[in-house]
Amino acid sequence: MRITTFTLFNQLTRSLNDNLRSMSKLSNMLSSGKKINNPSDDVSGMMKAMDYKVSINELEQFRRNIDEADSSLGFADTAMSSVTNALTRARELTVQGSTDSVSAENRAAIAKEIANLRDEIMSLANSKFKNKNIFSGVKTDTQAFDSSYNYQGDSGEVSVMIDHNATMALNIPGDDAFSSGGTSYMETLDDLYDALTNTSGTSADIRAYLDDLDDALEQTANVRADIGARMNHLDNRRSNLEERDVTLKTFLSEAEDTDIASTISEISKTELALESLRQSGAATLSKSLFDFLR
Amino acid sequence: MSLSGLFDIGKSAIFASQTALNVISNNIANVNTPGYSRHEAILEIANPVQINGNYVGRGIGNVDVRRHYDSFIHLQIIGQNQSYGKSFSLERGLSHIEQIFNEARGLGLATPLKDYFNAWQDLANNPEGTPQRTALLQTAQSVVQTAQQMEGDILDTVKEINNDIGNVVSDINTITSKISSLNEKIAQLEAGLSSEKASYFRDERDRQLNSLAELTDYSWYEDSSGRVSVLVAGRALINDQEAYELSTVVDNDGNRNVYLKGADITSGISKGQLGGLIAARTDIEDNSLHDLRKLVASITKEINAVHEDGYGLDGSTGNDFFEALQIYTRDYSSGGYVSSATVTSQAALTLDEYNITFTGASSYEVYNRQTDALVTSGTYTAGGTISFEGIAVVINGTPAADDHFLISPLSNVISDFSVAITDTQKIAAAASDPTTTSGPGDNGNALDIVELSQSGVSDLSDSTFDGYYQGIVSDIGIMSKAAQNSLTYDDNMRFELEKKRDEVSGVSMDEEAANLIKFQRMYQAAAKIITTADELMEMIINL
Repeated sequence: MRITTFTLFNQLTRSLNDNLRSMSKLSNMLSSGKKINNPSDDVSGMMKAMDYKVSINELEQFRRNIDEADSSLGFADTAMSSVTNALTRARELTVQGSTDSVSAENRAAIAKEIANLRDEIMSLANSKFKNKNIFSGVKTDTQAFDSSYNYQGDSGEVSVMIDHNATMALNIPGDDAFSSGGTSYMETLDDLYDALTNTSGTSADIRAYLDDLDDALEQTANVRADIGARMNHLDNRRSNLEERDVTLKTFLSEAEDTDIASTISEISKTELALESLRQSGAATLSKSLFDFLR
Repeated sequence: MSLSGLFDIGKSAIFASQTALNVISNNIANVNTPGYSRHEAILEIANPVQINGNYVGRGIGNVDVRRHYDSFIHLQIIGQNQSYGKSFSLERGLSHIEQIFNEARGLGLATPLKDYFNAWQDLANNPEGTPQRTALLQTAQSVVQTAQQMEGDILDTVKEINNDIGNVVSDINTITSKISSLNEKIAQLEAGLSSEKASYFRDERDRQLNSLAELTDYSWYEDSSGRVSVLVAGRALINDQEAYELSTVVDNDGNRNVYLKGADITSGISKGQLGGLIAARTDIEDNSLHDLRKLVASITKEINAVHEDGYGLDGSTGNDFFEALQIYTRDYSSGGYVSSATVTSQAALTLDEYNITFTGASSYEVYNRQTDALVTSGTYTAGGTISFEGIAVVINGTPAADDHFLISPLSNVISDFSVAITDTQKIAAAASDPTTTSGPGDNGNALDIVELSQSGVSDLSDSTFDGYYQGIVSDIGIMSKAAQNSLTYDDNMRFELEKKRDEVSGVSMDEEAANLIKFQRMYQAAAKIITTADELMEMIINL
């Protein structure tokens, strides 16, 4: 094989170019921190990375939705806890007020407190969370109960997506949360107030409301159990989503992140190759027979 | 044998070494000239004379100068250059497009799409909230703008490719006229001679043929006069008489096509930069551009279908979220024209493009451009409506056989892509009327739209929007990768072939240095012969 001067030069420049190209690719991988900088660098890796990113993004949204449901249910739970306290106090007062020995003044005071409790529950039922009437079903722009204690909302549930094909209602319609047996708690307390202030009324009339109050307490307990179960479920979902998120992020990193140690060692290998090429090039190309003819 | 014979021998040696030194110097001078073929002085013994029964030499005879050249390698180089040229421009065109879809750097439509559907979820969490509604419209705008930006970039690349086609064609014309004039010089110089005497012109013509091969594929042959004829797409570009000019014509689609002597030869060019540019243009238009438009059309169609079913906060219903799809047409007919083309049913649209082809003056056939399937056919009456798959087209005038009309829901879909909703109250998050049957907390329809983003769409072969878009990115990645691989392969092959060519035709400095000494010594010795002969002659004269 004849080796010509042109071939020698070409071979050297090509080898230098090849090494410089891999050098630039490697340092690009290092500076961007990504081993995939173009789809064509690794099409299947890129597709995996895109899949992971879509899933991670979905999980983030689901977590946002869960937070939304969680805070709304938490608010409802606080309200219901106050309702429970109010109803418990109302029951105590009813027991006091229904004894025959209670004086007329005491009964009037009890009636007054019952009226306060009625108004407190009313304001809880009409409470707003993020400017929404959360106990009005989907009619969130309407107060749940009007001044004559009639439910104005509907039984609609506002659902949010907490996972693929999984939704969770973030509200409890007021006809569920604030009434038992078709009568709202406020109505019950209002009737009780009437009974307490009715001068011709008997203790038995007042005692009759104990059953209603027990029903109301049972109903609020049910509602709170329901809320608790939902919040529990949300917690489980959230930790499940967080676990999946960590796994997916690990996968994503494996798919697209640069392995820094191996890249740096690749770079030093390439540097070595470049250095030796330059030296051998300088040695072979600078000399020809002409240098020895004098 | 006389004493003067010594002078002759010396003289022939001096002339021969001079010629050889000339050849060597020329080789050295051209050591870095691409395409130069090494020459070598071939020395022959002069016919000896018979004196007293002995043959006595008469010095050196003819000095032949030979060009070291392998026509088979040259043939291979031309073929390789044609492949290289194609890979070169294909890779360049596709790598542009790849950058437009470079999801590795977060460019592209994936993020705006995610943001858009996330905004629907945020709206589902807070259906009565104005901030969520405003945010949704903003993310929708960003989907529109990104899609339009991407299409604009793709169209810019296609435009660049069309410009390049024009530039390459004018380069080809320059080269062919050079080859043609070299043809004449070679034929004149070599007229009546059997060997290839016009070697410098031949080197130059080889170089031009190599350059031409990088630009287009061609076949060629050399005739007995030494002229080469070049055929492109089976038509003569250069014959023994002259070179013909290639020209370009911009067609209805805005694409620049290549013509030779009045005939469109675009589809006949498959290699060289020209072939690469044409292939890149087709790849881009048929894949990335078409698929992106189809995705946008599908988003428009599917979102609108769900959105129309829902209710805004103000109780309005039946509203489109994005401007509804329209039909675009292009006439490839001199006598007939499309007077109207409308969508009769958005739901029935397949998002494919159609060709209405006339088989005669009064009969037409409708073909699906993507599947080539016959959709419908019928008898043409001017002004009559041709209906198929959710589209109604009215053609007027007098179309003739072989005329066709392009009917497409896609061609302008991205440039006309826009958000139809301006009033946030009209965003239909509710599944039933919030002013009567339900309330502002109703988020049923918003959830349906979120559902839509997570389920397969039949127009997109049951992919999700995300999945279909990933397919587009994957396709361009695969095409670009393949183009890079063939470019590397072709480049290496070309280098190997050039090394082979250099083995035969290249100049080696060491070899020339050795030869230089050899013929310098020959020259010195020949001069000594003449001095010696002169001394002998002097001796005789002084006798």
